[in-house]
This record gives sequence, C-alpha cells and structure tokens, in this order.
Amino acid sequence: MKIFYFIALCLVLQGAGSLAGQETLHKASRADERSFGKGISRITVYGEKASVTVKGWSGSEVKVLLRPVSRNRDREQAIADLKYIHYSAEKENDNLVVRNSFKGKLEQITSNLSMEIEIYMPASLPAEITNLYGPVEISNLACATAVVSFGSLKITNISTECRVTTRYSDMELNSIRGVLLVNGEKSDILATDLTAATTINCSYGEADLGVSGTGPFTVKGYRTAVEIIVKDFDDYSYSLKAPHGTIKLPDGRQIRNEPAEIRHANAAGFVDVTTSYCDITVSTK
Amino acid sequence: MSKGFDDILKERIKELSSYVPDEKLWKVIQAELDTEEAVKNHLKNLPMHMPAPGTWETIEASLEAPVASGRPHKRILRRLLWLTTTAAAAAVVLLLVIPHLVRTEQGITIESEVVPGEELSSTMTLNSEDEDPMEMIRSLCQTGAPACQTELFREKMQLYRELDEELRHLETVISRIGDSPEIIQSVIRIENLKSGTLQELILLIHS
Repeated sequence: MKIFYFIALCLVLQGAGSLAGQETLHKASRADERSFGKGISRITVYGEKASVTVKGWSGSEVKVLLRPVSRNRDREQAIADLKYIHYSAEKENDNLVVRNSFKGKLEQITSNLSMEIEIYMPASLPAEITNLYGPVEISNLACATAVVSFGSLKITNISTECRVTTRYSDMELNSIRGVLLVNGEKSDILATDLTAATTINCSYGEADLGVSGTGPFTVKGYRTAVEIIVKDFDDYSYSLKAPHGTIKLPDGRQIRNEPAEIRHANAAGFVDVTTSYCDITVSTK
Repeated sequence: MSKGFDDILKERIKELSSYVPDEKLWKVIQAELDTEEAVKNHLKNLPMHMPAPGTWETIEASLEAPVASGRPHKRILRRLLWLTTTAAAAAVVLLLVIPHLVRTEQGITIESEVVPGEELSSTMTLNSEDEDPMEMIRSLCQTGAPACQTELFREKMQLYRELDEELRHLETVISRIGDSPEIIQSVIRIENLKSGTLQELILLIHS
C-alpha cells in the first residue's frame, strides 16, 4: 500500500513542478465587426504585424472583422495596452481601405500586440493586401494582389489575375488561373494546380511548381532551386537553363552546364526556366 | 557546412594547370640570341658608301620642276597613287597576319566557352540592404513579445548571428580570391538557412 502512496506523491510533486515551470499569459482582445453595402469596387488592406484573411463569397456586401490582440503576463496591462493598436476600415471613394498600426513609444508598450483582420467580400471585387510581419491568406477571388514581408502567404483559387510580391515570406499557391506574376525574394514557393500564364521572378529559396495548364510558365530564378512537376513529361516543351547547376529530367538524364531545349510535337504548353548555381528538376506526378 | 578560406585556397591551387616547355624551345631561343650577337659583331665591319657630289641637288631639281609649272607631273602622280595603294594593301595584310604571328604560348590550346551569366530580373530588386532583419527582430522584441525571452528564441537568434557571420566570411573570401561554383553554393545554403531561421523567429514572436 505504501508504494501506491509513494507513486501518488510523486505524481502530485511532478504535476506541481510542471505547473510551477509554466507561466500564465493573458490575451486581451476586442472584436469589431463592420459591414459595407454597395458602392465598393475594390478592397485595400495595409496590415502591420497582422494576420490577414480575405475570402471571396457569393454575398454582395463586404464584412470586415477586426480584432486587436494584446498578450501580457499581467492581465490588466494586456487590457491597457490595447489602446496602442490603431485600426480603421473606411471608404475612400469606391475603395474600402482597412489598415492597422501601433502608436506609442516602444518602451511604454510591454505587451505583445498584434491584429487580426478578416474580410469577406464579393468574389468579383479585386483585393490588394499589404502586410508586414504576419501571415496572409486569400481565397476564392477573381483578382488579388499581395505584398508580404517577413510573414507568410497562402493563396487559393484565383480565377483571373494574381500578383504577388514577397520578401522573407514563404508562399503556397493553389489553383491559380488567368495570369500569375510573382516576385519573391528569399521566399520558398510551393504551387499546385497552376494553370495561369505564369511569370515568377525569384531569388534564393526553392520553387516547387505543380503545373497543369497550358501556361506558358516562365521562371527567372536567381540562385533558386526549381522543381517543375507535370503529369506527363510530353505535355510540355521546355527551355531550361541552369548555369553551374544540373538539369534533371524524369527519364534520369542529367545535363550540366548547358541549356536544354526540349520540344515535344504534341506539347500543350511551354515551360521556360532559368536559374543559376542551383538545379532544375522536372518530375512527373 | 562551408569550407574555410585556407581549404578553398588549397583546392583552387591544386586546380591550376602546370606547364613545362619543350626542350627544343631553349635551343630555338639560344639560336636567336646567337644571331643577334652575330649581327652586332658584323655591323662595325660593314663598308661605308658616300653619294656622288651633286646627287641631292639633282633629286631636288627633279621634284620642284613640275610644281613650279602649277601642274604635277603625270609620272609623279602615278607613282604617288602606286605608293598609296601599296601602303594600304600592306597595312591590310599586316592587320590580318599579326594575330597569327603573335603567339605568347607554345603548345597551349585555348578554347573559349560561353557560360551564360547570372540574370537578375529587372523587376526584382535585392533590397536586402534597405532593412536589416536583425534590427526588425530587435524592434519587435521591444514590444514585450514573451517569446523573445525563451531559450528556443535565443538559440535561433544565435544561429542567425552565426550564419550571418559565416556569410560575411564567404563574402570576404570572394572579394579576395574570387568566386567559384562551390563558394556560391555555400552562400546559397547559408542564405536559405538564414531566411528560414528568420521566418521561424517571426513565427515565435507571433505565437
């Protein structure tokens, strides 16, 4: 019987120890929901340290959810520091502009402040999102423009046009049709079901592109490892250039230090990839 | 992960090609030197010839005569034309032949290979210098992000600093001995690790 007491005591002590090692962090937030009816022809977001989510829907109105968030070990301080988060959602002519910023002296702010912006908008309207230090998610729109630094980007289902500029921000692109233009600096690119006429300018990182349409697909990489994933190698013609790198083809061929021009008689699309000091890999699904 | 400066230097020195000249070459050089010496010795023994008195006056008179009449002599014109044409032809022949005559190395084959250089798209700008990511991290940490105080965060910061230092070291190597595919590939690996570490730091701050 003593052994059970001993085990129970050990468990209690262990539990108390782990509780003592933890610290309680208080998260204070405020929810602000706004709706905008007709008269808006585009949405612009300027976010700073914000999590931005933009979703297209079938409704005709625009719904904006704004949530400033303050985290602190001290509950009262977390609540008090919410005042340093400034945000607005205002119509400027036909443009709905949503923005946030942090105002106040840095040494005064002891809480970890951030902002959550969630927008539901008609899928036909174009959206332009700029965010610094935070994740951005965009889905189900006709036209989207995203400028993201020191964050991350996920875009799904764009039907007409998509323009992306990133810096130190990995991106995930799914089902992009129409036209896609990417300028990515030190950002990994993962694309699936890419059918858009695509131009990707990128430096460093990796670009893994699953292509499935006619394209054309152009990648101008500066020291970027590029992988093109196709259903069937014969579906495309290729122009591949990788000075100081290797071109790897699905049949096992490896071409070094010379360009590869591959023409297939029944090719439905064209893949044009240039990079340097890194490999270009063409693989099949 | 990346090679030290000395290792890279040693590797590059090993890659340099060595060249030993043919033994015949020394004989050829010796023969040329002997010829020069012989010419020098015989110069002083060459006979002296003086033109007959009045030769220069005769030549001068024949040159001035047509000009004085206001019309150059046809024969002189033909001679001038002939001399000009010959000089031009000689110049063209010389220009064509000189590259074949001037050979700096013997027995060395030089081939030119066109290797396409790196292209950075005109729409891309590497504006990494505009904003120091480290400054940005410090600035974010000033706003009370608890993650900045954690051991994991400190480890990642340390890793970022070490990668940054390694990158600077490689840049110094490149500026001193030039680059090579291996060095550039090391730069790429470090840049990618730096980028990944930086994004992990941002994620920790947001957590």
